[in-house]
Parts: sequence; structure tokens; C-alpha cells
Amino acid sequence: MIFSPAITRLIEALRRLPGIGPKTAQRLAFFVLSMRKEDVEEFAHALLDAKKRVRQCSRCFNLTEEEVCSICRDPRRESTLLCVVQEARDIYVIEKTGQYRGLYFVLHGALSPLEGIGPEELKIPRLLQRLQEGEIKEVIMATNPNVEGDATAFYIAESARPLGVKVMRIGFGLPVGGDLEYADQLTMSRALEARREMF
Amino acid sequence: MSRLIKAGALVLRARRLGEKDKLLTLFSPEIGKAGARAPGACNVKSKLAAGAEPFTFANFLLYRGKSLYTISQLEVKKSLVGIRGNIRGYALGLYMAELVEKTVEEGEAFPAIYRLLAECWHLLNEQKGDGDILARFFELKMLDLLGYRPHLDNCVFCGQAKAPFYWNNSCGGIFCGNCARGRTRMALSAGTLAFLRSLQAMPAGKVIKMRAPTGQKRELREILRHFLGYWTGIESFKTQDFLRKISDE
Ligand SMILES: [Zn+2]
Ligand SMILES: [Zn+2]
Repeated sequence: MIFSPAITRLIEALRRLPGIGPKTAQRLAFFVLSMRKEDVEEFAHALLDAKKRVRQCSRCFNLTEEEVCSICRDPRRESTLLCVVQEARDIYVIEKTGQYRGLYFVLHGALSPLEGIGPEELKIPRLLQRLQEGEIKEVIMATNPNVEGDATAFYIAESARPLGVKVMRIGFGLPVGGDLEYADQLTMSRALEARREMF
Repeated sequence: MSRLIKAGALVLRARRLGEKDKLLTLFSPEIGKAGARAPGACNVKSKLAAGAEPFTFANFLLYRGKSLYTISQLEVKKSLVGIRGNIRGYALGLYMAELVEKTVEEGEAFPAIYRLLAECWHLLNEQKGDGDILARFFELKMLDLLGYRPHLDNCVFCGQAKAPFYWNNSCGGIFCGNCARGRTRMALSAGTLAFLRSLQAMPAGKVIKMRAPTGQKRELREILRHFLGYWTGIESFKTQDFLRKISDE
């Protein structure tokens, strides 16, 4: 079936989203075309507006509309405790437990030899710089409980060793695999409680 | 033929697929290299999650689809978790996986390569010996198993066995001073040649005893990298880029 150029362009744009195959992209495109004009405008506006306003916090690289995010600005948070996560969305998984009162640091990924993603492609140099400043006394590595997340945590722990910072790893017990974003509140709470020093 | 099959396999690679699934590259002594979807494996509570990762040995129950298998069940036999503790060993292990993934055809059973990879992964997991030397050993054995064994005993052209010897990628081995005339060549030091010969002849278990100075290790790495590239046609490895990034050489 041949679509008009505008429809083809829309389908192609939708296909760039993760988890959207050609069939789903077509279905979504036709759905968009069936929507009211005002709703489509609101949709397009929301996309542009979010993209324009949201940026990375200059301290922790969480997503924020400010220069520094609300967590970093909160004086009630424990400023000597830093929890390192792979993605900004992982912060919400940990915040939901209500158990953690320190600050965060977002790596924006994990070390991945097969994708060629090294320390420089992530925020690892910035993290080590932050640890060098000396205020952080304890780091909790909350990268994903899988091979990549573990390898990343060990790499950071090893690099931070000369700095004399205590580095902990959240504990899931046995190797579990999977991504933190899918951990429910109870699982996440337990993993935080079961954290252990890495070396 | 039944569409449900059982196979023991190791996981070469795991990629995210869609919302919560993973796409695995399995390598099995029975069915060879195969792509398999692990539904829901991104979820920490999934029964498949723990096995849907590189450095895992497991028994799989696979449902055969049009182009991919779908994992219906898996039972982890061994997870090499020690590899995660050392970034270099981790990257070298994945380099071996990438080399297998790029040289072995889909569905082609290759039990000898399976055994080689399993053996080398176990050694990396135990963090014994020098990982880089183990990687050179792995490359030499892979060349051997793929039919590109470099000839290191004597001159490939005239058979004489007296040093010095020279090397280039396209000749498939070492050659003597007389045969070197008119050919592109690099000199191969006696020490490096001896090292290559012993790696080529020894079993994996002995490699952990081998040591070499940094300069020689770099020389061995470059020689084999170019040779491998020439004969397999693989120009680059993501895992080698990564190794360069974490190298403090
Ligand atoms: Zn922040
Ligand atoms: Zn000769």
C-alpha cells in the first residue's frame, strides 16, 4: 500500500520511537489523522514544549526545567549521600520507596562494550569529579541489577577507591537480571535495605 | 518436526527489544548461533531475566518461529558473575562473544568453538592469568577452527626453518629472508614468534601461566588484529573500541 508523502513522513517519525514497529507506526499515524485538529495541536505542542524546557540538572543530570533540579536544591536532603542510577526515570522508582533521603547522580546509560559505550560517553568523569570535591561520603550504586549494571558499578567503585569514598551496591540477592525501572516498591525497598559495601 | 525444542546454550548478547522483551543471541553446541526473543526479560521479576544475559549458560526450551526462536522456559546452569567485577575481563569476554557472533553463520553447529568460548569465559570468570593473552589465544584458536590457521612452523614458501622470519597478512604465515624479497613485510622478533607458537600449541588451561611485557602484548595484539581482519573480512569490533577507551596504555 502506498501512502501520501505526509502520511509516510508521520509513519517514519513514529517509527523512531522505541518499541514501535512498522505496523504499530501505521496504526498510530491513522489514529492521529482521526483525532480532532485541536488535540493534535496540543499533542505537537506538548512534544515541542517538553523538549524546549526540559534539560539536565547541572549537578546530578536528572531531568529538570531549572538549572539545578528540585532534589539537588532541597536543603533537607542528606548532602553526603549519593545514589548513582542509570536513567533519570530510576530516580522515581527509588523515590517511591520513601526510604532514601540523599542526593542522586544520573549516568545516562551503562558501560556497554558491545555498543562501544565507554566511560566518556556517560557521565562517569563528571561523577568522579563530584566525588573528588569531597562532600560525598557514601555512594550507593543503583545501576540495573544485570550484567551491564554490575560491570558499571564495579568500574565506578574501582575508580572511586583512591578517593576514600564508601561505595555500596544495592542488593537483590541472587543475580536477577532485568532493569530497575520495572522493580516494584517492595522489591526496591528490600534492595536498598540489603545494600552492601562493594570492597 | 516439532516446533518446541530443547537446547543447552550460552548467551552471546542481549539487547532490549520493544517495551520489556530482550533479543538474545544464543550459541549452542546443538543448534549453533540463533536469535531468540525472551519475552518480559527486562522485568526484574521475570523468570527469564536472570538467564537473559551474556555470560550465562542455560538450558532453553525454545519455540521455533519464522525467523526467531521464542524462549518459553530457561533453567540457568551457570552465571559467570565473577566477570562483572573486572571491566577489562568483562570487555574481553564480550570481545570473544563478538568475534564468534561475527564469524559463525546462523544455525551452523560448531561445538569446538562453543567449547573454546566456554573454556575462555570460565578462565576470565576466575580472573586467573592475563586476560589479554587469553584473548590472543582465543583469536589463534578461532583462526584455527575457522580454517585460517597461521602457519608458524617454517617459511610458508620454501619450508626452511631458520630465523629471521617476516610476516604479512596475506601470506598466511611466516616467511624467510630469501622469500621476503619483493613482498610487503614486517620483521617478526624471535620472542614474539616463539610466543605465538606456544599459544597456538597449548590448551586453554595453560594460557593462564603465560606472561608478556606490555610492548610485546601490544605487538601480538596488532599482528593478530590485522591478520584476523584480513582473513575474516571483519573490519572493526565495537568491543575493541571499548577496550581502547578503558585502556591506560
Ligand atoms: Zn539535580
Ligand atoms: Zn622461504
